[in-house]
Amino acid sequence: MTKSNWLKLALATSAITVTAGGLTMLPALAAANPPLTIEAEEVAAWQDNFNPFALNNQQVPDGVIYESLFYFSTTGPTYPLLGTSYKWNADNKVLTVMLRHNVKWDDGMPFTSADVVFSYTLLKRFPALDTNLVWQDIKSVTAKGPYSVQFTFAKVDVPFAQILLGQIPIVPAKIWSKAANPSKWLDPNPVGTGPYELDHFSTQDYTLKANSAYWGGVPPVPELNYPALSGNDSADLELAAGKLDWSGLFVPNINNLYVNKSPATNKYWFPPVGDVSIYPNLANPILKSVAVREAISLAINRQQIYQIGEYGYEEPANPTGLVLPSETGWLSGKVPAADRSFAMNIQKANSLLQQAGWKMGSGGIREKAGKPLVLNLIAPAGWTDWNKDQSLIATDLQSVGIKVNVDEIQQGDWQSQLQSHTFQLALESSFVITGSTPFYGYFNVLDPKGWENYEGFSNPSVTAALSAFKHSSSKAQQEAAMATVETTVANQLPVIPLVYAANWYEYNTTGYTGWPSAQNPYVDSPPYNGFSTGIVLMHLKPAK
Amino acid sequence: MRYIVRKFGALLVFIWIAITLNFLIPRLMPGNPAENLIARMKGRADPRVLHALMLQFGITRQPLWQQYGTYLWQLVHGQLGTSIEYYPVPVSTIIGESLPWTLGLIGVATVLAFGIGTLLGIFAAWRRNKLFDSIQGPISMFLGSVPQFWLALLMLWYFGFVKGWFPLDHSYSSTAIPNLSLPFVWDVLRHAFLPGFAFLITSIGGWMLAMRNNMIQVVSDDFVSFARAKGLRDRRIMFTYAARSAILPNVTQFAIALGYAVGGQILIETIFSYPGIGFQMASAVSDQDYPLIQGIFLVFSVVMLVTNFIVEILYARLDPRVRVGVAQA
Repeated sequence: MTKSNWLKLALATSAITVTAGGLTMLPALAAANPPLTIEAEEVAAWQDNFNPFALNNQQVPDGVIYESLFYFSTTGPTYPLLGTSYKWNADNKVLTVMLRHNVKWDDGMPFTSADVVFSYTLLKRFPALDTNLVWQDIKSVTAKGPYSVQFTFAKVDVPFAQILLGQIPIVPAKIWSKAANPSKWLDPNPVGTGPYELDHFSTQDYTLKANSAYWGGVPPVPELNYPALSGNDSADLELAAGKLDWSGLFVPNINNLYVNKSPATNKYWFPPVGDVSIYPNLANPILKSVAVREAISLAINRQQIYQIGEYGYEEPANPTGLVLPSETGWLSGKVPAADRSFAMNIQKANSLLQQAGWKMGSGGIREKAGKPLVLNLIAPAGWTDWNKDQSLIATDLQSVGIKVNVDEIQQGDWQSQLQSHTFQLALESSFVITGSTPFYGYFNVLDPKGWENYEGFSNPSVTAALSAFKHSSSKAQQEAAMATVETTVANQLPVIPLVYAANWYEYNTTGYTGWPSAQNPYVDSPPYNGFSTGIVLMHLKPAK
Repeated sequence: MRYIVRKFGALLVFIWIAITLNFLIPRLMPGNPAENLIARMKGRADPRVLHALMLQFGITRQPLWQQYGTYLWQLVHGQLGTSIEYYPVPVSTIIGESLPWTLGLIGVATVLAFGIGTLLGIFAAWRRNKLFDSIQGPISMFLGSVPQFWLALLMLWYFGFVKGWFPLDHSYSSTAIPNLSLPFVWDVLRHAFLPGFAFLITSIGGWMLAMRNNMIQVVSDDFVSFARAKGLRDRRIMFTYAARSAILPNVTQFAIALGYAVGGQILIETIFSYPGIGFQMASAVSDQDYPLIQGIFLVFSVVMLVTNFIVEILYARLDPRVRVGVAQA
């Protein structure tokens, strides 16, 4: 066979394979608006699991298929979903929620207060489902007519309303009452109230179709397509090829890989949602001293962490622990100008350490009473940005005579050391925004009962301020309480904020416009963020 | 018979050891699955969820022997636990979904490689130092030493990306709906071609070389000369006399290779995003999904032990000396 014949044969074979490939395609939907391709989670294969209570459910049914009563946006307003309004009684112990009329489940059954009461009671009957510990705060939930429910709290906890009303999916009582163990049920044919329904499932791809009877109107996007993409590499390739419309990927050097390929349509927004901080273990005799913590903070070059460690995506954090710009409204006028941004100051760091009795020893490491100033800094191995931050911090602190041993450990070990307070210094996120106030960000890290009080901070005035916030539904009282917390965080450095922690979110405006952006931050944007996805999708408009 | 019983007893003991190690190793690691999941979610879940997660994953502070009892009891009932990554999907469901793809791809490729390689090896040895024999040596040496993942990457890049003849990933097109129709089967074959071929090409050489070398030894044996002297036909001597004795080491190898096939080909499956067990394993390791890793390892080790057992039985059948040796002892 001659060379040209070979070529012809090859071409003919490839033509056959292409046609055959075409045969397997489904006929394109005759809809005017194009489908949307979404990359929310990286997985080897999808699982036929749409249980909305399963934490970390990769198929993210919350928001598109199942809805909560409200959504409390961290960057935008509060969205009434299945609830329309809520009201506290005089002593903030009873919360009454009005429900939306004329909402139908996907199977045509009407949605009523019975479904809401059932969904909350489910969490009590199956504590494994109660990931938000709802039943540690509330005592009862009862229907007041078909379109109203009442929650009675065991103790006053005003900010908890945002978790209670904003994080619990409402499921149909008729269907879920048949599940023997809802915490193990895969819910393969989900019936929800949201703007989308499951259309077709396979382990490599699943599609959702618009719910034409949705209470909020007909969704503008007729079909959502979720291909299973594993690992950053194959997802990055799809993103670079412009095949993804909405994704939540961490992409190093996003301008080269994505934006520059088509600057008019390929966009991203990485909004700050918390801080990356150094947690000092306050039980440690060295780290107990505010002077040492302040010296550490002063010696760190946060610009370098921002630009080198975090790829220029995460700007230096705010000393008050507030996440700006989302929480700008909470920044109190009482915080002095010097505490509104971090400034590196080696000289001051050195003099603070000197005053605290740490004298420069041999080999450039400070000593006190014969003990060298040596600390261990842990972070999970393989979290490459944090590992880079670790070594940057070690180099910075070396220059003021603090020796930092960089310790990259297995992530379960890291979490375990945080929980059991056996670390010295640890990298971990802090002050993560939950809902529309900074309360939970602060409470979790600073209150002795907080869930992320790994450092072991306990300060009577902060605890009192947090408690005051909890007991009040008055904005003025809440602001006064936050002012106390903000100034204490800036002065005492219970944790040492470094840079903001960001959400990863890329979007393509070829098919649709109206995405959340820095200019229009109407709701939380990543496709993996439960309960906000439906709101984003209902705001989209077909691009002309 | 005594031989089989003895081997079967050994099999049970080994399986028990494998199960026990499988139970112990993850429990010696720092952290528990619930803490691991929270860490993995990088700030999207705070430790508030820890309590519910411990309940979900059945993490208890029971003494180890009690947990061991529960573990064995669940195993006997076919429960391998619940995946963390895909909670609440049972591990057995995930293995059940990915194993057929691996068996279909690597299993079939292994059988093909063994069949083709062995035949070529017989042929090369029979016609020693002829044209075929002298070119097969360097070629199979070369193919056998090419790293599999490298060849796979090269094929993916050239035939998939540059030429676009074959799909880049997955086991079937994302728009196709699995059924038994001709277009779908064709679609699956197209997706399996590159990974299967990469595996086949790199493993054929090994079979061929091994078979050729065994065969050359056997061919110089007295019984082959005797068969020739009897005037038997060439083909009969080649297959029924020489190849039958020469194939023994290859059969052992083959059983082990089949056992490995169940474990999947992590690199090839990952390169082609092929949804088999090796790919699932790689993703489970990177997500530290211990129950899934454990489940895959357990299936893998049990299959290895069982195939080894079958080989030993087969051996006794192919080579009577094995049986007799035991009977005399």
